[in-house]
Amino acid sequence: MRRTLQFLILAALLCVQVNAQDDRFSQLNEENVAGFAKPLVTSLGMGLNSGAFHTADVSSTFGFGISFRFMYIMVPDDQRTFTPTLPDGYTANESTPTFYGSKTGASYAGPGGYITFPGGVDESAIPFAMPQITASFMGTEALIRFIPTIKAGEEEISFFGIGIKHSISQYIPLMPLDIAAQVMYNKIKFGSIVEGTNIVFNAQASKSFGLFTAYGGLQYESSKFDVNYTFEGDPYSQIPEFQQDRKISAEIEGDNNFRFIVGGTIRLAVIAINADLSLGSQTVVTTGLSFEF
Amino acid sequence: MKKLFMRSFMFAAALLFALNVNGCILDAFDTLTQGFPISVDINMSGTLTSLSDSTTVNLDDSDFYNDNQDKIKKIELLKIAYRTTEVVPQTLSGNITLTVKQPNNIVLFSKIISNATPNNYKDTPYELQLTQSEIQSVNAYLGILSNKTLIATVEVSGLPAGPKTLNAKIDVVFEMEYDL
Repeated sequence: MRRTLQFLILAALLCVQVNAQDDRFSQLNEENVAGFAKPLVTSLGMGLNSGAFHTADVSSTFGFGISFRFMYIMVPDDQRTFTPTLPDGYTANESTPTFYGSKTGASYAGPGGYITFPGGVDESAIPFAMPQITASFMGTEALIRFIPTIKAGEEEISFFGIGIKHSISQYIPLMPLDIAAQVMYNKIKFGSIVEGTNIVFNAQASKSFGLFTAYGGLQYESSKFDVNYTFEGDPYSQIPEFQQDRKISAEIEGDNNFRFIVGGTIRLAVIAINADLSLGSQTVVTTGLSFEF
Repeated sequence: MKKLFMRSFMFAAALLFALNVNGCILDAFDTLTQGFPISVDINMSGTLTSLSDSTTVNLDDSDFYNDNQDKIKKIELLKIAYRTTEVVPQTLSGNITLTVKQPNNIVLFSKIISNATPNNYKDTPYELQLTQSEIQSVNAYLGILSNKTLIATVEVSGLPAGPKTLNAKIDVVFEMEYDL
């Protein structure tokens, strides 16, 4: 069971892991890596910061749950291209693909010959998935998202997230809704190539109607990824800064700041199935399967 | 209950697997399409009313090509430009003809920049606008991956008599699709 779970999680993360070490980044200098990778960082943030709740109800005694979260992150068209920063003498008369853009990168003519940019993966959506465990006691719920360190080629992938939610409505008599506030921290690491941290604060509300619970929330979040790679210079280039290989370390922040979440949960005995829509910098459809005791 | 849990888990696992393996973008990571530039020198001098020089555009002159040549699936011509590096006298003008041939002298395309003042193309290269059929003929040649060289010839005609020098570069962008 544990090996199966690890394999599935590895498959989910592979999309991201490959990104970090593929040759696209090795063609980007310090000035353009953020423009190219920001939509990817935003997606990772949108994915990692999704699925934090499917109700605002927190057990007033004791509760325990295991969940699987599946996210489908949609990238808008305006995040599929960016305008690069070029050396003096060059003009960015057209945009070039971001990580999600078309497979053919732009090339710009200038006094030092052509400068070329990498193409993207030509995708407008990516899936994401993760497991999580929750435990609640007296109106406070702790959440843990954890993937044991997995070897992927030369690199190791690890992911850890922790969150805490507290019921606000328990202090308000005759409150018709459940209201809670939550904070969450996620950290993901792909060897020495990529390290990302995400912080989430949200306010959430829910109302149950028999087996069905409607829920919604407003979430503030931030995502920051440190990327380390080698820029592969071209010794034949007539632009001095493009001739040498060099190590590049870049800190890239995602565009994900605020999102509005609306969704519903159906409970069948100990099983809860939920789906929600997050509207933010990118749109995320999240579904979840939870076993709650 | 245990059976229900296992069935639900298998459903979740199947959904996750389907999302990330079948429909997923993993396929997009199998190959990479990347442009890479090559520049070659053209050096002309003399006293006649026309000058010309030929040079070889060799894919082996690109580090990027050499690093990945065992994984190449496709190579195509993307862009080509003429760029002056030195011209004496600076006021020199004439008709610049750029011809690209296979090594066996089969012409792939030929373009004329009429009434050109080469000094104008020092900082701003002249990008040739190739037709679809011209690009296709080059790409058909490059489609045989053992074809690695093109012959670029520049001829400048309509020049005034007298001593003159014109040095230039032909900048080419190829696009390569290769396995990661």
